[in-house]
Amino acid sequence: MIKALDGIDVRIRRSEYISIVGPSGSGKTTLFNLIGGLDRPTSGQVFIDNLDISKLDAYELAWLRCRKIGYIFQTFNLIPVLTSLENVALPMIFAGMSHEHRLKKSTELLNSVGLSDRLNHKPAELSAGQQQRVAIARALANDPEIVLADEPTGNLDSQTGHEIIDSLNELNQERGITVIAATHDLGMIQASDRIVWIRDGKIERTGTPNDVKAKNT
Amino acid sequence: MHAYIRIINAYTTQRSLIIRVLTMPEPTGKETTRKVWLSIEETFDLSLKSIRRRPIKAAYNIATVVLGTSFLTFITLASIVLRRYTEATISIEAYQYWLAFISLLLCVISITNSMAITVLERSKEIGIMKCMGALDRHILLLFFTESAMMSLAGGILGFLSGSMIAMVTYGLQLGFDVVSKISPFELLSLLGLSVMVAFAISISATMYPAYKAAKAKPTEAFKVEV
Repeated sequence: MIKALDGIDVRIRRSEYISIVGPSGSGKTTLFNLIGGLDRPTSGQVFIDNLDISKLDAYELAWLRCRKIGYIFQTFNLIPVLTSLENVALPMIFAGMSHEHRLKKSTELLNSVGLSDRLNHKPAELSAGQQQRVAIARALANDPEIVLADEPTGNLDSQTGHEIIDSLNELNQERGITVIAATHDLGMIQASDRIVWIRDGKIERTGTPNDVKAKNT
Repeated sequence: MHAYIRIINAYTTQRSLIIRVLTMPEPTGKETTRKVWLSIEETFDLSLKSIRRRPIKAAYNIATVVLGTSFLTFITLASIVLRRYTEATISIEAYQYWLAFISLLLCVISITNSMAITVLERSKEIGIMKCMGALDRHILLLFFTESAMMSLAGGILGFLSGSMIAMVTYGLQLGFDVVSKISPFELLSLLGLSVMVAFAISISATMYPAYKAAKAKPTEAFKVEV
C-alpha cells in the first residue's frame, strides 16, 4: 500500500507563517486537504484548537471550512458565473450573514486588496493576479483563524506573485492569521517563520528562512 | 474549545499520521454556534442567478419540458373536447396516451442527460461551495430548486402551447363554438396537471445527478476538467 503521508507530526502555533516545501507528489496537497478538513486521514489525528477534526461529522466539518479556514488555491477556483463581489460574499451566505452585511463586508475586503474598481467584474474579465486577490478577499470572508494557501503564486508572474506574497504577509502580521502555504516560491519561503520540507510523505526536516540562505551560499 | 492547548505527547506509532495544528483559544472566549446556513431566500437567489447565467442550458431544459407537457395538454384537451362537446364519433385512442407517456419518458431521459452534463461542468463550482461551508444537502437543494424553477416555466409554457394548438386545431375542424365551451375550470386544472407533470419529470430527472454532485468530495471535484 502506498501512503501519501506517513508519520507526519507537525505543530503549528497561532499566527505562525509556515511554508511547506517539497517536490510534486511528496504529499503536500494531501497534507493540505487534511489540515483543511477536505479529506480524512486513514489513521491519526488532526487537531485545530482542541478539536480533533478527523472525527468531526459532515455538519461540523462544513462549519469548520466556513468559519475557521480560508482557502487560497493555485488555480484561484473562483466561480466563473459570479462577480468578484458575489464570489467574496459566497462563504458569508453559509455563515448566515444578512445581504446588506455581506455586501458591505465584501466591498471592504475587495477594497483592502486593491480591487475597488473591479467589484462587478467576472473572473474571466480579471487578470490572473486580480483573480488571486479576489480569492484572498474570499478567504478572509468569515475572519478565519487559518489561511491555507496551496501554491498561491504558482500561476502568476514574479511581479504579481510578489503582490500576493505581500498580501499574505500583511494578513499574517496585521490580522494575526495563521498562514500555511505550500510553495516553491523563494519569495514566499523567505517571508515565512518556519519551513517544513516534506518528501515521500515524510518530513525531511524543518528550519527557518536563514537555513535556506545558508544552504544557498 | 477554550482550554489552552498542551503540546501533545501521545503519538506512538510511526505509521500513524499526526498533525497538530495548535492555535490559542479565541480571545473573546465567546462560543460561536457551530452552524452553517442556506436560507430559502438565498437558495432561490443563487438558483435564479445560476439559471440566468446559463441561458442556453436553461432554454434546452425548459424546451424539453415544454415539448412533453404541451403534447400531454394537447391530448387531454382534445379528449375533453371530443368526448363532451361532440357526438364522440372521433375519439382519442389509447395509443395516443401511450405516445404522450413515452414522450414524457423521453423528457425525463433527456433532462437527466443534460443535468448530468451540468453537474460535470459545475463540479468545480460544487467543490468550491463545499470548501466555503456548503453541506451536501445545500448542493442538493440548489440543484432541485433550479430544476423546479425551470419545470415551472416549462409547465406553464407547455400548457399554453398545447392548449393553443388544440383549440386552433379543433376550432378549425369542429367550429370555434365547440371550443369556446371549454370551461375556465377545465383549463385551470389542465394548467395544474401540466405544471405537476413538469415538476415530476424534472425532479425525477435531477435526482441522480444532484445526488452524485452532492456526495462528491471537494478535492475530487477540483480534479474534474471538462
